[in-house]
Amino acid sequence: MERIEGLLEKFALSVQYPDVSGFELLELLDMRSKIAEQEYNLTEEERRKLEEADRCFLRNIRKIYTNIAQVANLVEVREKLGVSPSHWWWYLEELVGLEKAPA
Amino acid sequence: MLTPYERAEMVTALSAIQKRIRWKPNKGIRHLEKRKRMGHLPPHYSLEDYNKVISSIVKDGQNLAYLYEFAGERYYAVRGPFKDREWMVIFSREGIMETAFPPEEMEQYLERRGFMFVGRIKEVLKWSELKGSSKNSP
Repeated sequence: MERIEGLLEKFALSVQYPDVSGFELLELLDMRSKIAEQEYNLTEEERRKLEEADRCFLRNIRKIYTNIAQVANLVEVREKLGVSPSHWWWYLEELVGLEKAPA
Repeated sequence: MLTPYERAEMVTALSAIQKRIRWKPNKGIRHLEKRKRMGHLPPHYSLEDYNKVISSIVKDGQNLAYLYEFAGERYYAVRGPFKDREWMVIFSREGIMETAFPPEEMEQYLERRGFMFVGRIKEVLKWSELKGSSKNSP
């Protein structure tokens, strides 16, 4: 299993590029899931870094969703991969919907 | 199993990308920036250098070609080595670049995304010589 520091570093960098192909962005979701597997092991500093990367992910969510939707159906992908409902980053279409909802 | 039309389309897409690397507007430079930040390519690389890497992968007849279908669209991919990593070059049926990057774990990436293995590039390109691979309507 890849060490959490490396994964976290890659995730934090990748999330800054929401306008790349959906084929790459799907790997970003995989990466976030791998981090989740080791989340209990994070130091305070790593946890802060992950929170910052997650905030960046959420800021870019519309672009990420648009680019992924061009090459994959997330409902089908989640079903195929057996994604856990707790892995919120796979539910982009719902998060984008929340973004539009009135306060 | 690809139909004769699909085979002809794949040959056309491969031939197009072997001839010239074309990106959607502004996409090449963004992908290049990410490659450099991720350490996949040296920091001094230009888009021309990135395109040369891609060309070297799609022109190597030994490299493996894949098909990906979604919502009636077909994308093609070539998997091949560059330096110490395995890269994926993914492009449309028109031969327009989607991306070129080294997935973290190639086999897992292909399986999770649902890419279908087709054959070696040199084998695919031979289809153009076979009877029945002409471009007819699907």
